[in-house]
Amino acid sequence: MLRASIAAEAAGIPSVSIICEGFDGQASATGRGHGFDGLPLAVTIGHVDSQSTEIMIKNFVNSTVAQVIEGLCGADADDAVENEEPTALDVVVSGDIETINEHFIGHSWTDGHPILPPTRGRVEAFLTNSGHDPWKTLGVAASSGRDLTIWSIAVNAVMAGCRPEHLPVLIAISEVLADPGYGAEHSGNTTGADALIVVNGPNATNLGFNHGVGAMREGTHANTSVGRWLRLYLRNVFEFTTDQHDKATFGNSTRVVLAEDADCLTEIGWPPLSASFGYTAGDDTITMARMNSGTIIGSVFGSTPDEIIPYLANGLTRVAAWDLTHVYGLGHDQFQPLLVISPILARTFASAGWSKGDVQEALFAHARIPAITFEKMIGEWSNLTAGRRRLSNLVAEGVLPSVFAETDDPDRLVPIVTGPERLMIAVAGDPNRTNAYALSNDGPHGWWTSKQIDHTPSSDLVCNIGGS
Amino acid sequence: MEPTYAVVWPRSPRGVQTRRKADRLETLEGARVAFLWDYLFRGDVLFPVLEQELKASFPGTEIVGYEEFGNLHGADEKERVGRLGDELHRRHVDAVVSGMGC
Repeated sequence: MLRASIAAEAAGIPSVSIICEGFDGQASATGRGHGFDGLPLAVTIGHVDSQSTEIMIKNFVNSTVAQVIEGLCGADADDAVENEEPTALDVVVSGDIETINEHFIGHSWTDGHPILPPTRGRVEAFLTNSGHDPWKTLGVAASSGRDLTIWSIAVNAVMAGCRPEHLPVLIAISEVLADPGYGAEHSGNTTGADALIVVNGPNATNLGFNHGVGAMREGTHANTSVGRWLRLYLRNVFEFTTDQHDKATFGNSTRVVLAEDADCLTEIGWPPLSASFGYTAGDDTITMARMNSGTIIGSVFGSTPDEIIPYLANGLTRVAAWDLTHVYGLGHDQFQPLLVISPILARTFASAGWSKGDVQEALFAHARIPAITFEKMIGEWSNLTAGRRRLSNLVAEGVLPSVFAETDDPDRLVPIVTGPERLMIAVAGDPNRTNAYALSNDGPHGWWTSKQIDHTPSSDLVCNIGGS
Repeated sequence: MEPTYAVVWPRSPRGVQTRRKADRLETLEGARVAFLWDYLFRGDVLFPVLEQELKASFPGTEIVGYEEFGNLHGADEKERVGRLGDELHRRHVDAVVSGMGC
């Protein structure tokens, strides 16, 4: 809600933001990221969701109300003056490898692992053959207000151990982060999702991305270093550190990049994940969404689609819990979980003549939960969809399709998404094992976004004389 | 002897310009105060309490309820927040209380 206060202040209207205890740092950082330092806050005692109504109101009246009045009527506080920061080419520390790493740890500039020292020479070498203007800006980090410069991408890439040929991938990821539809500013929300980057296209293998055994485990350089780069970039440029924007209660570890098995997809005639976002198998792309949690669907047994669909669908229902608020509530028609199936499972479907669309239809029909459970998830056990909404009311209002209210029976089975196309499918992993992995996405807080990877050298630095 | 390194800053400059906050009010007496809610974290209980408390201290305060603005979080947040400044002016709002950030 800081963003609403920021809009008011920008319109010349004084504001105060009510926040729960512990959100001061994030609230202040959000204001600073939009150019406003020291926006007034009214802080509740503790978290409102853990208090009885009586205690919550008592605390609010005794403590928070006075802060609201003070925030709107108090003396105009001086806007803070920001400390002078280094420029991009300034040397921030010199020394041996231990000194460098200790300095970066001390400034929260690392993910806790050792980094490769980003010397000016290394960063320049990283960019040398790219043709990119180092000072070109791809956008602004919505959380911190910092510029997404090619230089900053390269500095963090050196730190993460990326190779220069990964730069086009990193630029495409940065374009996702800069896309307002993705919602990068939510990357520190309390439930602690972390982004999953899926790479598709003919150059994925050439760049060294692993799509086979251990597809989502650290160990393959391209998958690991690019995944690590994203975590470092979110820390250093978006300021998602626990003293600023990161409010993850637990958080997930950094996810390595997931590459789809293009050979298998070609063999069975299925489109890649990126096709859901308008691309074709011939396009090099990255597709991203923030994922809350995942579950392995282990040892899938069966030789026909009808035998294996129920278990895969069950896996999807097991990652559909509070996240269902993204069907309606925190999000709207934005629960779009991902099912990663191993190539052998994909071939089982394809050999029976099933397209990816057929699989989505069957999963939609089978991935169902009792309506009463759905309603408890979004409006009783969690408090993220206001008003204790009933699915039947949401259907009557036209915000959900009729499949959610075909009868009045609270135990009727309802889907976990609004339609088959909302179930994302990717193919990767050990080609000979019958396992799958279901992941729940975080709705608008890192919404599915896809960008093309442009491998052609940039002409930013080409001298163009006479318009020729 | 161990090699030494001279390293550069991993952050980037802030592109946003520092802006000045709006002037605070002298008093809430006679002011139109808008409540803005993200439809989360028990604002439905606390905003009515706040209205009661403000009116007890400043009887002339006028409240513009959060229902007038709808949910300012979620799928269409950017559009709604983007037009908020104009909407606040159109409703002659003098001050804003927004919540709940939890």
